[in-house]
Amino acid sequence: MKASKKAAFRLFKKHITRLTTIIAIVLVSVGFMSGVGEVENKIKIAERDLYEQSRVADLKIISNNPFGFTAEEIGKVQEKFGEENVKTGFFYEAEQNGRALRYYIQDTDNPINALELVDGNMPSAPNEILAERETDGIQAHSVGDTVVFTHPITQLETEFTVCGIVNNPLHIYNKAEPSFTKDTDGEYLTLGQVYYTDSEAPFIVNDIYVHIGAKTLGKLFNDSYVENVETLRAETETLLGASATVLTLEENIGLYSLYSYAEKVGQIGIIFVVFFLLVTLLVVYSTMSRLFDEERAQIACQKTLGFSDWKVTKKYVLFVAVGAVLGGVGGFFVGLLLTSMLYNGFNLQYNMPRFPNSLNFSYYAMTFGIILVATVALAILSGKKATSGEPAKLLTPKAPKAGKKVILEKIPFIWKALSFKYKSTVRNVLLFKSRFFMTVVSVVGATVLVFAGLGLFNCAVNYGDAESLMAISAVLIVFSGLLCALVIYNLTNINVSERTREIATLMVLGYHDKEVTGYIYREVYIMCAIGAVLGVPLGMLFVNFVFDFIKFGSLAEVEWWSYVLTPVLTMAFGFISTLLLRKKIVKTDMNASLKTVE
Amino acid sequence: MSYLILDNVIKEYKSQAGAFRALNNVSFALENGEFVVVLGPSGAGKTTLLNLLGGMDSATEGKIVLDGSDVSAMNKKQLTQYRRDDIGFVFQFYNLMPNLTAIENVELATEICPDALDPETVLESVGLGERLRSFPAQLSGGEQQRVSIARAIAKNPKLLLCDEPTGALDYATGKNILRLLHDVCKQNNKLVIVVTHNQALKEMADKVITIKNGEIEGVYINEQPKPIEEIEW
Repeated sequence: MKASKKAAFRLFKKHITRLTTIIAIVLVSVGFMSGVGEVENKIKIAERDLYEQSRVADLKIISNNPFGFTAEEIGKVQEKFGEENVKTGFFYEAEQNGRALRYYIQDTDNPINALELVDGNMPSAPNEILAERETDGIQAHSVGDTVVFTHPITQLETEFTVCGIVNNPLHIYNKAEPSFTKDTDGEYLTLGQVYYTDSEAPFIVNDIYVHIGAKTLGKLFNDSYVENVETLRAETETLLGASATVLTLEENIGLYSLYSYAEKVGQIGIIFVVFFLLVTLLVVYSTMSRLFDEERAQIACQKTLGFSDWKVTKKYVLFVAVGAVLGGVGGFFVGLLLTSMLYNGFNLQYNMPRFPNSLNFSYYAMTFGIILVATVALAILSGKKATSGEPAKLLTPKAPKAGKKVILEKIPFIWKALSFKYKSTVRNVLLFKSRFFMTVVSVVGATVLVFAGLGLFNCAVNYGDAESLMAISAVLIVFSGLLCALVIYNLTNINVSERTREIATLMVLGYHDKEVTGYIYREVYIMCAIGAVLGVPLGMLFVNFVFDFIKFGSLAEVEWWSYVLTPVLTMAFGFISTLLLRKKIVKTDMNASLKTVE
Repeated sequence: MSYLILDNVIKEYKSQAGAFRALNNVSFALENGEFVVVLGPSGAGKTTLLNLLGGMDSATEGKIVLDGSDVSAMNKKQLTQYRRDDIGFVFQFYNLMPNLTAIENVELATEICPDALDPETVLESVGLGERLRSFPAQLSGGEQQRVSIARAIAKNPKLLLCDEPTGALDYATGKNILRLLHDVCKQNNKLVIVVTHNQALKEMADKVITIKNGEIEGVYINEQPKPIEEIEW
């Protein structure tokens, strides 16, 4: 192996923890960004697939006349939209046990607004009936059940056997839906039972379905679709006069609310993707610039040997690129999993259409691309800074910003009361301002994300029916928590590795393990505490912005415990990080670190 | 009974390649108040010896007894306590905390010692009375080594161990540091062990231990040690 390759290999080995954390941070970040970003696309694609396959009705035209539409009226509709795009049927509603029973007679084989068979068979005999699948509002049925009701036309009591369970694409909503029937107080009754019997030509037609399709109207629910459908609605109303009510899919509680949730998830995704990206880049940048600081002597040595700046920087760039690529590849799978998890989360509230097979990598390619390019660029940037000095200057250790007294030292009675440990901590915190600043900003950023996740969760719970958003806020909490924990772990790890010599000195002086670890931990805890304290008010600002942006929820709905849990979590992550790194500290080799000059 | 006794001390390092014996049957005895120089080429086992004496590592076999207590029988925690209470270290590269001032670096040691001396007095005694509030980066190499010596003696240890204390210093500064160590030894009646490869230093020692290939080559008693000013190298 060439010596330069060996040097690169050793760099990876020496800083394996740092590499692993970079990989993990990129993985969490890309996984979250691509996973959440893609949910909106997947839902929209699934809805559009359903729309095309089941030829979902763009317009549902209901007759206001008890005897239904005249043959002439039906002819006008068929003429306007084309006979093949129109399905005619009959429906009626009646109160039954406090809820509405709805009964459709239609051609159940007609592909327009097709019923999806969930169980059993389509009807093949006159006494066979289809029942809509169970929802929070609609009563459960099994194949073979007997249903008795009065035939609305013949007024005869008829007994039907349920031959199949179906799902009408207009009823994908799992919660209770209102019917067209009012109770005595004028309130709409909840739809409680829905049945379908098969007839190619119902005696009375009061229910017309029109499917026009995306080719003419534009993609489901996009601006041109909405505009076109509104125009058609107005035209149809003019065509039929006061005898008809025309409904569009925008009034369909299932399809339309699913679509608008998808849009909200997309909006949440955009905001959080930006934030995740910023935190990730900040962490990678500070990790790299501190790595260059630590490797100063090596860099100087290579420069004295006549290596060009780029040759010296190269292996560090490779280091970060490997971290980003491995993290990005892992993030791809995490993203896939997350998308399907969030998508299936909607099943709580909707009978979700099949998860689309189509592979779409736009979000993944975008987020991974940005991360890869930006981290490599940042590594080159900090490498340029680190290698820019003359080798002679680089060979001497970077002089600490010594001699500067921190403000607290000007208050002798406080300063004198502090033991060395606190003096050292205070100086470390205050003298390395830029490093401290980056650390705190990263922790604050991650804390803000956790708070936002909790806030969103509170609102989603409050709105009960907004499940869809509970899943995403749970994911947000988990991923922000992971990011927060990784950020703190990474910074603690860097802190430990930069302080090896100081740790060894304390050990030689006879400091016990607890006292030595306390020296490092104190600083970590201070940074976490500042991050935690600043994270909550900034989180409030952020979550308020998110609520405004997605037009959902408000700060007032955020529960008190979110304000408590956020800083507690940040501190807990700090605590866990220090616990994990304890071994590394107490296993420091006193000899190796004290008898050489780095 | 002598103040410091090493009796057949063996130190073996085990690796995949097999066992490597860094020290083999090392025995000697030293008295309190002696200025001892341990001489040997690099790789001879000087550092291993220093690590065992300083409680930074444990012997594989044999006995090390300092002032009546058996160091070789101590566990990890007891060794830490031993370093804390009984040992003063001076290193080639000073190992000061960069973000603490001179006096704070001394306090770092005295804070945890039961019989510590006053940090300010000790720093004055090593000639740094004027630089108490300076940070390491503001001090010269010799001054930094003085802080490190002050830190070691302020603990009031039973044994002062110095590993190539002049290795990073120029000739004149190195001489000053050696005089200071010698003064500490004689004025406070401390056992001081200086590990070096500089042959010239044997002239100033009360006792010289030469070490080669992990074994004691010889222990010489110097009847008439020369003052450092008269030694040239």
